[in-house]
Amino acid sequence: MKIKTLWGLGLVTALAAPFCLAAPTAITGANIVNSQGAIEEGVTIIVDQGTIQAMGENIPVTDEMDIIDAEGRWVTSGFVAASGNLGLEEVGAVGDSVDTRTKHAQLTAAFEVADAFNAASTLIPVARTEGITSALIMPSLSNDGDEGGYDRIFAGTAALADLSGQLESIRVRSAAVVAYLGDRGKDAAGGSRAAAVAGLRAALEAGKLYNASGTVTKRYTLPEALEGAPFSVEDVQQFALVESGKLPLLVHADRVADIAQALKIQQQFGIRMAIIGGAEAWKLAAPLAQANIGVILNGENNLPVSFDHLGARLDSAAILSRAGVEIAFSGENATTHNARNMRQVAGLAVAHGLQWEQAIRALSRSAAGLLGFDADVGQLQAGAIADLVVWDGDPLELDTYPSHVFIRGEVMDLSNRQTKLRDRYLDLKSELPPAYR
Amino acid sequence: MKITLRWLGALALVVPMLSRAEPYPSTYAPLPSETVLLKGGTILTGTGEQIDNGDVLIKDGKIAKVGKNLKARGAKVVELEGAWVTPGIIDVHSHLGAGGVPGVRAHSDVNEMTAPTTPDVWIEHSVWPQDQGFVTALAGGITALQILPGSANLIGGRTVTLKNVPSRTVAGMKFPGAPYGLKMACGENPKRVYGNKGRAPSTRMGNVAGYRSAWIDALDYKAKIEKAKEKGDPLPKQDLAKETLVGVLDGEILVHNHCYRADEMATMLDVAREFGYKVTAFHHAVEAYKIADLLADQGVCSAVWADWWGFKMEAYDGIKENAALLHEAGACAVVHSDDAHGIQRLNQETAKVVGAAKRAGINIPKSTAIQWITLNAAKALGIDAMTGSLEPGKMADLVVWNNDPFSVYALAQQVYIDGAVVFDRADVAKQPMMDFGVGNGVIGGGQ
Repeated sequence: MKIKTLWGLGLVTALAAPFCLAAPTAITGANIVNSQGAIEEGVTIIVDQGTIQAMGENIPVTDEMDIIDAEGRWVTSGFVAASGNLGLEEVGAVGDSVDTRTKHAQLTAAFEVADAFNAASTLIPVARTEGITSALIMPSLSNDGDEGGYDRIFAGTAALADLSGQLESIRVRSAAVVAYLGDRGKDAAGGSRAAAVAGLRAALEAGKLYNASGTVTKRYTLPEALEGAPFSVEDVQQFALVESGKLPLLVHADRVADIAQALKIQQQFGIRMAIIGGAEAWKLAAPLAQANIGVILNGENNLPVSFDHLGARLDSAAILSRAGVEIAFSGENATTHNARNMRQVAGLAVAHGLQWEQAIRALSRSAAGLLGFDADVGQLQAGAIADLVVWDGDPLELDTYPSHVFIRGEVMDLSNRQTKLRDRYLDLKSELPPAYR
Repeated sequence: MKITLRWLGALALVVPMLSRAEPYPSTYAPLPSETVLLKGGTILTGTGEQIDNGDVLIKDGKIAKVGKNLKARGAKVVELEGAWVTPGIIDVHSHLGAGGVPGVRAHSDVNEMTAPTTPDVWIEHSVWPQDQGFVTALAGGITALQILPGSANLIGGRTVTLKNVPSRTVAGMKFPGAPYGLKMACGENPKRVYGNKGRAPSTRMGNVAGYRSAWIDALDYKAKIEKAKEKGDPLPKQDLAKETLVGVLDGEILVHNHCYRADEMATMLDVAREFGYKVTAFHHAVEAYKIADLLADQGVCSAVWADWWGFKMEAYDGIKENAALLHEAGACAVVHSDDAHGIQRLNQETAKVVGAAKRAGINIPKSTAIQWITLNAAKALGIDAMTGSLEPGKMADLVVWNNDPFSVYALAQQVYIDGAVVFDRADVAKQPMMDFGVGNGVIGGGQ
């Protein structure tokens, strides 16, 4: 656990260098949920050099600081989108604008989506203006299906990016290797979920062998025993990072039987793992908590949309959280273009029994935390990256918006393409067509 | 009653033409109900009014009275204790039952993707009443909904409006007296589906040529029937496709036109003018806000999402304020789902629009916004004389919410349809479960 945290810290802080030289900012009178999950009122937060310099009730505010009086409103750490393809996709159905997947035969786990990330995407300001300041950026499985090789269950490697819109937005280039069990994995692996499980084991065995043979530095050689394996050198190197605990494995799984398989594999190899989807994860809440496996939950699904989702329920979040499982939120209508709806999904979970403070935690630190990057992303404490949001109401409510968004201490513009379109068409009675507005 | 009369009028026209009775009639019968007095809640009437600390009296399956300090001898009194009451939520755009869960290929009955115009198909013949989506929608306050064919086709077929009451047959769900609709679709979907098959339409101009050809055929069929009647000749052989289109030309079948882009909606209004029919509602009208004035002038409803955008090119300009800008321009705004999850939370989708509008300086009272998913939706379906608002004489279709329905934390506590409690979050006996969910671990009860 110690090593994991240190590793996370190293990577994150290396990329979190401040990019602004503005005056320090003091946010005063804030209501917060602190890192212990407790509510505090009247808090002052000092932001400088891209980080939270100081935080507490009696922090002095000096003359040279810019002051934002939160007046008892909620201030949270910026929310972290826990799934989806921000920066990889502009218009879903327009293939030219989508970089989430590859059909390249020799590139599965080593497909690093960070390298396709487009910080100028219009989706980023849309998410940011609703308080999302960073996002896990996911690779997707190729849509072709029935690829027929068990190596095809790996979609690639996810990244963690901030939503500043700056060219250098990637915080963690390799955040997790993404694999599919369940119905998607079954198709990718050639028709049975057993083949998908076999693929996962084979990959980790290959990684183990690679680590054991000490050939990590010899880029273009594989251990003899791996010759003829379905994996490319690059993929095996990625599996080696997972096997040694340096890189977490994010497993798509919904059916309890598939999650149980993932759990067995996690225990066999001692790797870091999180589940994404998790429709029936609630049935394994206790063992998941014990194994420290977090769940990125599709929090709005309560329908048997497939035979993997028969036990889907809206109080999954409450059940998992009560058992001590770290959860983050996603949803059918709360990802990519509508990543902003993760707040609604969290609110829905609260309506179905999740403690409100836990919902805030799930939105802010958990997405990074369950992959081991919670050292300073999504944290509201001195020393953390200053990704902050001042809200004009309950952050989970449907009519609440941020009044201020900070990323790495920098104040973000709260307009986006949609607010501009709105303003262009607010008044339809004008002499010249809207193209002149 | 206006609608019922108009519908009877429609039968009078259609029956001689077909020389037989209306096929596939509704067999819906309300579930057992009692006289109930809901006391002391915040009532959004659906007529634009909010009554604080108000009461609703339900009798014989109808709304009997709405007001303050109501009394009714023998009524079962339900203390609302701060709960909110709204009309039943109506979704004008759903595929429940036709694309049911689990979403396996065997359940894919939404699009008859074998020809670009299929007005001969009726979606009710695809609807599987055991779709678990109906009961999760019920737990979200949905009391009536329109099921439409999909959008692969220029003219996709007849729609059906249902009461959201569990039944063994689709006929047992059919909303009595509701007019049929005709599903039409603009834009990317038809041209993609048929363009990929190497046939027309593969462009937007191909789409329009396709609508026009179909309506020309329909006018021809209509003229033949009228001529035969005039001369006393035998009627032409019944043509299922053209019969439906003639129903539209006669004003008895309502056009529900899937159309995203502003310019295409304007074109479709021209097509309608050319052939003498009316577009009742544009669905998925993502860019309606750009022509809100035109839509207001033409008296066309626009059914929109709160926030779906960018999943395809024609959805790229979606904004959350769409419904609010339509309303401000005096047009008929409706919030719809097209989604088995979204239909469970149309109140929240509406709340998102209100919240976004507030940020843009437009204040929409809750009493107005609730109309987008109640009375306006009922208007778009031609059932507003029967349901959609809490007015004496209307069907007692309503929802009791544990909280302000515009809050993310609100849940429907009880749902009444024709005065019967069809869902009660506090009573497992009033939480229906479809057959698919029996014995396989599907979670019910509004969870």
